[in-house]
Amino acid sequence: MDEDLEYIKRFKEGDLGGFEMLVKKYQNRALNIAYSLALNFSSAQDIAQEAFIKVYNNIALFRAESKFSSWLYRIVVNCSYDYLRKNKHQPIPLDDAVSVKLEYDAKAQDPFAKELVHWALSKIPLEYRSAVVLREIEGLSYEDISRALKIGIGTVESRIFRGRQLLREALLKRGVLKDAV
Amino acid sequence: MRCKNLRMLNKYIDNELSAKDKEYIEAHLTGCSYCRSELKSFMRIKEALGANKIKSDPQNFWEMLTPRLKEEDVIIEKEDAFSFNIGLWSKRLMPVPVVIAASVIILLNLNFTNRNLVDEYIFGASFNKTVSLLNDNSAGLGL
Repeated sequence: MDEDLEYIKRFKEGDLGGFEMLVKKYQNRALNIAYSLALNFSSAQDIAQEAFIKVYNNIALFRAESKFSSWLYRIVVNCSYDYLRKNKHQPIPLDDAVSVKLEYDAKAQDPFAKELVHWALSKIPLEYRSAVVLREIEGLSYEDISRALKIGIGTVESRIFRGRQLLREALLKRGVLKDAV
Repeated sequence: MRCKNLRMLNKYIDNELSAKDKEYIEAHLTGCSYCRSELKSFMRIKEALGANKIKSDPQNFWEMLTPRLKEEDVIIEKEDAFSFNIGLWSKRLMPVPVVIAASVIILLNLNFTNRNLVDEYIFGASFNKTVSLLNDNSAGLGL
């Protein structure tokens, strides 16, 4: 049996340990998606927790034929959208781009560019941002993104393409990537 | 000037091309400086986004989540106490229609077998007693 289905089965049978395993397996992914959409670390933590609470309360609705990860990502994206709607998200000023302690997976050649990319993400519309984030941060396939966002694969491809173009334009205006042009 | 293969290049970056299309775009890249430049900038964005990942301590996240889960359990318990949970109660009440149906059948049978007793009560001695009582002024009713 798929590992996630095993955890879900345990949880449905009353073993909270099954749910704990799911949380520990997916919490960083949920955080990263939320962070890339909400662009605020403490909000990302709230959003990720909210998403897992929705999973906790609605696990009976999960159908074993679909992937748990797709279901979770959809919940995280929706919770992020709800947060942004309530908070009337505005593009963040460049000076406030990053004010949190981040632990990076890999050393970038140009650390400053990371903050700029984060700022540039805030400049692109949410529907493009979510597709780009799921692709670039989580490495999901177009098919998985399609399931997570409940849009067609063609739309996924279009949004990623347009999202990248908008990111590129924003970064070029700031003088980044000029050597790549 | 943009290249018409830009959309295909986008899918190439994401490894979403068929083997044939992948071969085509790789050959195209050798001769198209525009696409090479686009590829370079997209790859830099990709690297920067990938390096922007955050990691939090799994145990710490779980410990922050657990009190909120307990609050949810309390809310759910309160809702169960004061609201009608259709799913829960439909299971509990499922045998009831069966019991009701069985009771009706039993009562109907009783009624059938004891019909004479019922008729006797309504049309028989009791009635006659009542009529005689009404006709008998000495009963002290003052009628």
